[in-house]
Amino acid sequence: MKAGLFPPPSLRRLLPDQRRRSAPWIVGLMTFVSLVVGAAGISVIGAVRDLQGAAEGRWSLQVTGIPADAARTTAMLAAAPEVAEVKPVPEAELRKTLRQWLGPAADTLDLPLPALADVTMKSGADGAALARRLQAAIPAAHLTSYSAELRPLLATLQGLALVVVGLLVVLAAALAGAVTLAARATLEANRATLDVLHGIGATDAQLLGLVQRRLAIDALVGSAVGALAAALVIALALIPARGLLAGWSERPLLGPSDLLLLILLPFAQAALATLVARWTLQRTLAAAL
Amino acid sequence: MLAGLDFRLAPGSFYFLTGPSGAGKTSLLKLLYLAQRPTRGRIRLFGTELAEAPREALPAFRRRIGVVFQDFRLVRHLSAFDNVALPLRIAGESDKDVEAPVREMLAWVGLADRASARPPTLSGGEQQRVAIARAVIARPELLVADEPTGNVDAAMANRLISLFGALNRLGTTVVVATHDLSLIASVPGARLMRLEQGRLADPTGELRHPPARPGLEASA
Repeated sequence: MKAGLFPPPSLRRLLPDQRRRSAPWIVGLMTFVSLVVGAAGISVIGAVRDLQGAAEGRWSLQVTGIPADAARTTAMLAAAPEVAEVKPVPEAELRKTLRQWLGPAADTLDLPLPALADVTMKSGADGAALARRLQAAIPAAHLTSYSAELRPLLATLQGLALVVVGLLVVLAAALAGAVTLAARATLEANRATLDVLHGIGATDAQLLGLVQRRLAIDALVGSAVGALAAALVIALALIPARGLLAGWSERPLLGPSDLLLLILLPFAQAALATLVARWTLQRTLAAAL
Repeated sequence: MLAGLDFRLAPGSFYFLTGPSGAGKTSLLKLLYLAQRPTRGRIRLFGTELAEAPREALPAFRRRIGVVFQDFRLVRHLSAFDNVALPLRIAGESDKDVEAPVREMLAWVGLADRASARPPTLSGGEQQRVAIARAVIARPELLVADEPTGNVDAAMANRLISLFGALNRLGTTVVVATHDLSLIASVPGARLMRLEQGRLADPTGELRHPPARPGLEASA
């Protein structure tokens, strides 16, 4: 009798076929949750990266009060060696934004609107130094980096990504624990048969091959079912959520490399489950004479 | 509990192990078929010291021992055929090579027409015969049987003991634990081991000094 995952049929039937096994369900549920959490985590990490990339070198200029200061400021920035581009925000666009809060009154009210401009720095430029120079020359002008404005959001998203990574580790540990219990249950359910085989000279490797094959199949079936269910949820819930980043990134929420990572996850879980089962079985068998 | 045991089994001999219930017969047999290790002492089997041998080394020795358990220990979901075939399959024989010897053995124990029956559908006597067929199918060098005729009628008991005798004549050392002293007379030349309160009586000294040739030794 050869050891391994593929013993011949005459040996496979040495263990009875148990229709009501828990391992596929456990692995399936874990795979489903891991994939959904993993996809959410990858999306968050991607969003953080996109936002960081989009904010890199971009600054916002705001000038309040005298319109002449706005013109001076724009001219000063355009002449500054650190600046690649200064793009004033048209007043019409400001009023359009205001309309979201004030309604049609935003067009008629005589509100003192600040002058705004998007400023793009050259790569490696010291924007903070320029902001200080500008502030000294024109006190009404405020130059703020997008990164600084987005910092609280980025910190929250990074924290969320860390939580997701932690969750995945916890899920892997939970899977290992559940598979350990399932392996022990399988051994216990087949204890009488395994004792007979052991007594007539079966080696640990032979017994391991029989039980491990069953657990490996359970893990693969569970992973496949869990992955299919997760794929549905990801397609229906996560992919449409890319609208959250509209205007910041044109990249899909889950790129090809992200999807590849997610596709590999069920296989990794099945492999983890099989390895944990093997280790549990080895330890349990080694406890007998 | 066994204590003070010191004996050697002559290879190719036939032993009956007797003694009252609780005397330690099953415990001694377990030591012989490597289901237990002695808490102290040594067991030398097939020329190898096995009391402290690594557990990885034991399966190879177990394959050289046939065991008939008192409670049969048949695999319930396997047919009589597959139960008898187990030792051969464990030893790596192909399905093709297993077919003929298993059929022959089933015929020998009178179960040729019950080959596909599963243990729960067999009577106690039939199960016992399957267990015996499984124990002897691989021509073991040592056959250990715990009350092997307890569930069969006298005629079948004699037939089974004569099967053991035939194996013994081929060189297998046989140890049969039994309460049925009438069986002893059915095997010419068989020796008697008597256990009482965990100690082995050896009035003739034959167990301590069997005919020369390395055999099975145990001391505890």
